[in-house]
Amino acid sequence: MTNSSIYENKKTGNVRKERSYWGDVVHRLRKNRMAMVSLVVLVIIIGLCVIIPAVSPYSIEGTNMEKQYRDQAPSSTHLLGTDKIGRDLFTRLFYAGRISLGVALAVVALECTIGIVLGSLAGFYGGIIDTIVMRVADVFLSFPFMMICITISSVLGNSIPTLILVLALLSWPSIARIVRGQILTLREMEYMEACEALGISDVKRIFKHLLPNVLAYVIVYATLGMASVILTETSLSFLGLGVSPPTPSWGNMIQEARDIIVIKSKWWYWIPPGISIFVSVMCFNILGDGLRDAIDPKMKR
Amino acid sequence: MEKLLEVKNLKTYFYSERGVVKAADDVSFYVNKGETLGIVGESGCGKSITSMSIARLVETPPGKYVGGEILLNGEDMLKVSDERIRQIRGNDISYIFQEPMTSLNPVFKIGRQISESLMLHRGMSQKEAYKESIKMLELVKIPNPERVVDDYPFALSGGMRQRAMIAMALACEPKLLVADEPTTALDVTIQAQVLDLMNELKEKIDASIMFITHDLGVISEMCDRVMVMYAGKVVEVATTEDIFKNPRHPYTIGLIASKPDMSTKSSRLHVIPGNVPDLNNLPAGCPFSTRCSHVMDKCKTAFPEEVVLDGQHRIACYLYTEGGSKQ
Repeated sequence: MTNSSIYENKKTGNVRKERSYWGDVVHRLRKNRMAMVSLVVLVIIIGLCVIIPAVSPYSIEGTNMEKQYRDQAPSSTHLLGTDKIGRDLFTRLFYAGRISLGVALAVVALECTIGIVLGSLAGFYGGIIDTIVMRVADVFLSFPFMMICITISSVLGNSIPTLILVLALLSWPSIARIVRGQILTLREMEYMEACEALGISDVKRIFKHLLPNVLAYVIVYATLGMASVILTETSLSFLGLGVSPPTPSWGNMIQEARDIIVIKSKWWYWIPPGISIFVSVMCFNILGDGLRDAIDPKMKR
Repeated sequence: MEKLLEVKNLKTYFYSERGVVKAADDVSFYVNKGETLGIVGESGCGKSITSMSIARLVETPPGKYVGGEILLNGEDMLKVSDERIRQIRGNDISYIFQEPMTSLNPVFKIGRQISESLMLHRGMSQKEAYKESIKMLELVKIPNPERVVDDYPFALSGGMRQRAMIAMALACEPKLLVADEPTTALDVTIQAQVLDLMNELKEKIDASIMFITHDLGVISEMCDRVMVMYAGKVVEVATTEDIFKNPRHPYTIGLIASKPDMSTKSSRLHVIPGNVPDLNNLPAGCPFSTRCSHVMDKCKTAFPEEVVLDGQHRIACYLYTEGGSKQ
């Protein structure tokens, strides 16, 4: 038989190259230089955000009102200078990164969970469940996004948990649609029929057998979703509706530099958070695109 | 002989916007213990729906079990609870499907897929099930089972996958194995190997097989008895020998005549004139009446009662009822 001869090759030293599905994905991703650079940059940013409290000599809210410490341009003691109440902006920048990236991660995790559960139930059962879930999704998608955010944060107050909840609740429909669409095609596959013929329960069939097949798409969506949530959170914080000071976020750091004089003469107030937003959003987008190409090479053309 | 499975007057219908499709209409048959029953018929004649109905695998809606009984060891499959039917699936009744390339979940290793039913129905731990999976792979004659158990399906060829499917289906030693065109997608040499394997394992675990195919050659090789279906109806049931030597229903006669024969030199194959009727719009009476060369007036009004000839040979055709020309 042909297969046994392939196995025999192994004994003679000709190792058969064998990769799993994910092995293939990683291999293709590694050949994508742009995506790999983005990944490295993201790892650096996230790494700095994680270690900043341990390595920074300055505390996050430690103000220093003495004149020589306020409004300082970048120097060797304050890498990115200080603000008008004497806080070290380098430390604040990466604290803000923790908040911005953390919020983005929490939102994406939450919306994916909601989206996956509702999307797979809708796709698997079809019929009335599908109709209900997808119509609710349509309703959520037709909300004017900013208005809802403004309304909710003015009613509930703008704390970080509320922000996460609002963003996740408003964005689950897109992932639910993706998952539902995939499940609709996958549930007709013969292996799902074989599963049913083995007596495996519905819940196990959905979450153990179907979901792993959808995971690739969810990962791509989640990566691209990170970028869009960072942007949304930043704009909300800039408008004073997201993360509120003194807790820093990239958005409200830029907001603090809204003054025309600051923009003109004190670039260290707003250029670093601006670049952080730009770089991290771009990296997440490139990485997401790279993952998509790696997962489904046919989609590239 | 003891009957393992007895299906009485099964009616599985599909309700669509265009009307009712009677995919299995008043189907009755039985399978003895240790026996292989072949089901033949052209595409869309209801053989798959009949076999799926046995473990209640037809999707409802659009399908519906309108009537009848499916008795497996006296237990009616159409009446048991959802939980009970899940216990029966994979444990008492197992299925092998046509397409080995898509019948295995691409994201799981072979071993895990075989283990699953063992863990579910036999209550084995993951480790025990893993070891048992290797044994099963060995049983279906896969070389290097210790390696294949950790392979993903894409690493196996079609024949190997179908073997793995058989290992999965037989893992819990079911009493009834339903094979829905298991060799249609395989090439002829692999087909012969898989058929031999099925026969061998059937003896080993003392199972009965329902073998669905449209390949008469495979039927003659595998089956003890044959049931011929046409447009949702059973038209003839007989022992394999009888069917080939002495086919009686005009449809069976046409089917067997259409089989290419190496010994004759005719350059054209025999065909049954006409097409399978639209299941949405069946003719009244016998569905074969539109293509039958012996058609009589009463064929167009009502489906004939079943006639039993020579003790075992069941035919549903007016030619053999009272007043029929061959009676």
